[in-house]
Amino acid sequence: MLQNRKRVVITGLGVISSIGLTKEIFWSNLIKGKSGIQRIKRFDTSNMKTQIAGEIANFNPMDFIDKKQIRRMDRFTQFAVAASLSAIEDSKLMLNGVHLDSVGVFLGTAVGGAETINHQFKNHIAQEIVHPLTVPISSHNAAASQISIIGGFKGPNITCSTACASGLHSIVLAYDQIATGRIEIALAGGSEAPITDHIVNGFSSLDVLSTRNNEPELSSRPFDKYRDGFVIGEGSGIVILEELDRALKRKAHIYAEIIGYGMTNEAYNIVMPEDKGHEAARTMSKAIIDASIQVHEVDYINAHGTSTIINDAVETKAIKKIFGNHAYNIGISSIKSMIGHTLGAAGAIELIATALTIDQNIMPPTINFAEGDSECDLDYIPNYCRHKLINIAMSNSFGFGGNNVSIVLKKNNRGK
Amino acid sequence: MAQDLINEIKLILSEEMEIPYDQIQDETELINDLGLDSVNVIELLYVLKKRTGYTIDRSELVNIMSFQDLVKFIEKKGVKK
Repeated sequence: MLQNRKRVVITGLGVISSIGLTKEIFWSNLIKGKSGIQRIKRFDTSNMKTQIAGEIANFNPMDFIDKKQIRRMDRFTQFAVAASLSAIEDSKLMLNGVHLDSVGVFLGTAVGGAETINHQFKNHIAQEIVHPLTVPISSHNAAASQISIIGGFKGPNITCSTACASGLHSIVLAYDQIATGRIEIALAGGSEAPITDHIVNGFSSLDVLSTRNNEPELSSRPFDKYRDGFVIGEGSGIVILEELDRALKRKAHIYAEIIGYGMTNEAYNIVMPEDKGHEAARTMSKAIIDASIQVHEVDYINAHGTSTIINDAVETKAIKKIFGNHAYNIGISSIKSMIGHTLGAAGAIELIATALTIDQNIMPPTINFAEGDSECDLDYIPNYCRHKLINIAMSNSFGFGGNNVSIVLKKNNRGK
Repeated sequence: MAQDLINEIKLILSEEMEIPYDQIQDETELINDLGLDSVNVIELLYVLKKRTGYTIDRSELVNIMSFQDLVKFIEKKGVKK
């Protein structure tokens, strides 16, 4: 436990997702249990094994960003900038009164500018001219850099790529910077636009994607007995983090306080999780110790819950290892059932859902949950959201390469 | 200068570079008046090649200051590559 750290709260949320381009619509659809999964429209999938994804059909970058700037942005950057602007607006931060060198940007992405690489590589192969900005536009750091350019944020600017844990890793890195007093404010989260033929085919070859092509809305079914793999999604989640006293002074709305986290690597396998759940359990355990809480105090877990056979079974095992009998009292849900797996954005969008769960005292459901199996027998809040007073919640992100992170959030009653 | 070529390049500058069409006059200087930076110039060369087939090397740019210079240069090159 780190002593004397500053307290850090979440005061702004911005989300771009297949079920909503604003925090309000996203949350309303999340608790309604609406699926954002459809057949892929962005490219021809007729020869592909998987033909479904959580595509954002109605995103128009011009609703958020100046046309001149859009030209120099991959889709994942456009999502990140749009979510950042929404988060700033939501936080009601008056940035003109802030020292901009104390504002940091921390962004996670797993595949970065995949669409730009995809298009320009096709140009290259066809011996067509390749766009001169291909490299700066497609680099993983492009989104974080553009957020700073647009906002004038001159503090640390970090891009974190830890596969499906990238979004949450970025948030804990930002948390540390504020907790240690190095910066005052952070924009932190993740962004991903991975719905390209090469990425979908790549995951498909790895045999990790659902092939329920004829029932897109039923395809992502975390913890359900008939789950058959994850569904790729796209989007971005950005949160505004700031030091508690600062937030109180400006009478900001506080969604939740970050009280601790655990970060580990499994040192095991580039794809598979350690199958006994020891490693996922170790990550959650570190978070609980770091937060100085008892396991029975946890009311809700926003699970990594990918809808693959192995992840959901291992995560369940790990939860039981840490929480014992209390595991059966905790509400657990996976919003991937609705928006699919947004890879590097997932941890951030899920943190937003967790913060709103605490703020609203409503646990979003795991949709498409028909039947558990012997390995998945906890309370996954099947199909319908549930009202419950949520004081403490945890969110998990477990990425390829054994990159694990768990975070603990607490309700903040104006600084108490 | 061929009016077609003038119009086409004006169109490229306005559509692709977001420069108001009417703001582009013969004497307009690309960098000083239109505020293009060095990255914009590289983008402009890319767009010109993509849309018209004309290739201009960066080294050839030293003598191109104004819109008129650009049009004349392309006109002189004559052949599309």
